[in-house]
Amino acid sequence: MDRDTHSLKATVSSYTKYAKDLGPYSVPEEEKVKGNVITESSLSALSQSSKASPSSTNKCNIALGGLARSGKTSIHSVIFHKISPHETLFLESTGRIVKHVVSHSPFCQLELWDLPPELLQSDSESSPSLEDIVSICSALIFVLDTTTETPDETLQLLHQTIVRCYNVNPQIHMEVFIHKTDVLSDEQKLSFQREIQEHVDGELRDIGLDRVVSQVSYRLTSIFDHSIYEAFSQVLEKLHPQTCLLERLLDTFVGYSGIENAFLFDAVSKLVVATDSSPVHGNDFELCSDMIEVAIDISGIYSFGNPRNHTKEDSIQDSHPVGEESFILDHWNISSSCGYFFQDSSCWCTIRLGNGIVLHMKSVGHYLCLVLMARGEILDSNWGLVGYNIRVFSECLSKVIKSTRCCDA
Amino acid sequence: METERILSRPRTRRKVLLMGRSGAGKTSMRSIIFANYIPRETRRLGATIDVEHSQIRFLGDLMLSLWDCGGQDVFLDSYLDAQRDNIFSEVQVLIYVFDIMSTDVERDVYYFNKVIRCLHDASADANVYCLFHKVDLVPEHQRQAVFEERQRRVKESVDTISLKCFATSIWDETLYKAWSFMICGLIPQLSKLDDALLKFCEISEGDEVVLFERATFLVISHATLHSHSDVHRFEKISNIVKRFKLSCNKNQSHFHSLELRNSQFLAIIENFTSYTCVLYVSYRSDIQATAVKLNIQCAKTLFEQILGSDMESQV
Repeated sequence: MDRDTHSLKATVSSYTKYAKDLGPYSVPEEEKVKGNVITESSLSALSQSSKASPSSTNKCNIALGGLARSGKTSIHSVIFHKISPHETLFLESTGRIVKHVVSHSPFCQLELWDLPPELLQSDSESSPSLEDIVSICSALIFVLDTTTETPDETLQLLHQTIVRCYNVNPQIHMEVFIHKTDVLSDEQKLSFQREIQEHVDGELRDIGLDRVVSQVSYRLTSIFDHSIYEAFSQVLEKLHPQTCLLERLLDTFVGYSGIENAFLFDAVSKLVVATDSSPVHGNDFELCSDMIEVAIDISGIYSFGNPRNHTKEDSIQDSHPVGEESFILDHWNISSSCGYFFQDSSCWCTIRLGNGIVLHMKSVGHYLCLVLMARGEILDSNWGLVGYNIRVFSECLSKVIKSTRCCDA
Repeated sequence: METERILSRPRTRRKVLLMGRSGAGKTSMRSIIFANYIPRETRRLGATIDVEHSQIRFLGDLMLSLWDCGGQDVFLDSYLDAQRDNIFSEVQVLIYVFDIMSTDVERDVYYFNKVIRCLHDASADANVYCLFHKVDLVPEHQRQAVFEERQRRVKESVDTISLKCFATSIWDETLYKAWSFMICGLIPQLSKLDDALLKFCEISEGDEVVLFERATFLVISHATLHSHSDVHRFEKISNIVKRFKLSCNKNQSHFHSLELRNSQFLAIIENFTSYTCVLYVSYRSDIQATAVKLNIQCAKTLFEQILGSDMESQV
């Protein structure tokens, strides 16, 4: 529901911009299916336009707040350190401000500030204060535990925090993660969300902060299913200045290749960096991210099983991550055998499903993966075209990344 | 043709007893292997009351009748006494599950000993497997030591018969390893399958070919031309594919085939005979996926024959 309205908005905004830059594509329906080759010039025009609007540097600062034991550190550990959800039970409470630097793909460069619950109390005198941190953050994620025994206190704290953050940083995106929802039924989830939203909106209106209401988003999350990845991806898409551009790149790609959906994933965290603007069905995200996981796991098993390679010492040396790379992989809690997956840009994977849908994944470098969903019969008659379009897409992607880096410098 | 086979009566029946004391994890493991539960969901399972029978068709013609025996002391006492003949007659396999974290080892061993004696009287040539379950709860560096300690105590208590022990956990591939081993022991045409698979592997210029049962994704047979450092790889793949299958089911679809290639290898997973899937791996970069698929199609008839015919000659 939330997702639908979000993507609908994205569709409208991207198409209006699209039309301005390039003129509408008037490709007839059957020709679309037959496929067209994306011309590089049309796409490089897109990447040029990104230079005009670099709103900030690429590192996004996100603050994570909430009451004690609400699941802040668990969320971070599950997404970015691949700790299995049932192991998060043993995580210790965070007693001080912890800054986690996440630096995966160029579109997933984050600084996460894990805030201890005391910091959110109004009488806290710690330094740096909540205000100091929020002033440099572009988003605040407030984790609200649905299983809490003190709901009134939690809502009170949420309200306070929203007001304080808004006062320091009026541009900040406020995201409320209604967390640990795996125990609730779908109906309960929605009524929970409605209740909280109405309460917060009402209180904000009471003190005359009507405009803040639209700045607060609510998402239902749980670390035990895929919802936490979807919620975090949406936050990321909102924050990243390049999202709109990537979405248009993907739209062009999808339209010209006759496929249904295309997703750009950060391969390490399996967060979605961008999707095309056509609507996404129910669990497609989850399916695509599970597919990447399958590819990573099987690559991890067989990439170093090759006995012929053992005779050639140098090739093994090349393919093993060395020095800094292996340090990074350790930091991500990824074994070096799986890490190989992220370095090998020739990797691709195709999974066919019983209902005729084909999933195709191709790593496009920079720790990014492109995943396509298409009807089998269309894809099978178009492999050459799709392959070519993927190549053009990844070239453009590299240009976008390069131009962002130039802007940063 | 497939429906015909499904309707036809299975020709081989095997009685498998699943026993152990209450809370050891018998029903959990059964649900994961045969009913596609994910590990987390097993928390919802309640205690088994008396015996739960389930009929599982494996590889089409092999019928496992699995007796999941509730493990509370009252039930155990009754199996050993009043229900003795019913339970222990004509057993082919006994799978006895121990909770490795159990604090009452004395009593565990006491019951195991009694069960073994009853089994020995009624079905002397049954295979006995012991699973030391929930090893994930033991810190990793102690696992091997604790497992060996427990294994020694159990083996001492029943010195007359040979038994095979496994350390298992529902959270990793050890469970698949143990079950693959136990079930494979029941397949009569295993050696023929091994030979045919090796031949297929050589002809199609693969480096490894693995045969999985389609519904459970347990490993049936494999042919490996070059040794591989990871001994648990097949079970890992079972686990990986099964997890993905569940994800497909959520999307109202099912897994059909997979093709994966990077600069080091090519892997293909395809449906093979009516009841099996095949995994093909080659490290050669000049092998064409389409050719491999064609080879797999061609080999199908032979494997259907091997899997089908031998069951008949058994009867």
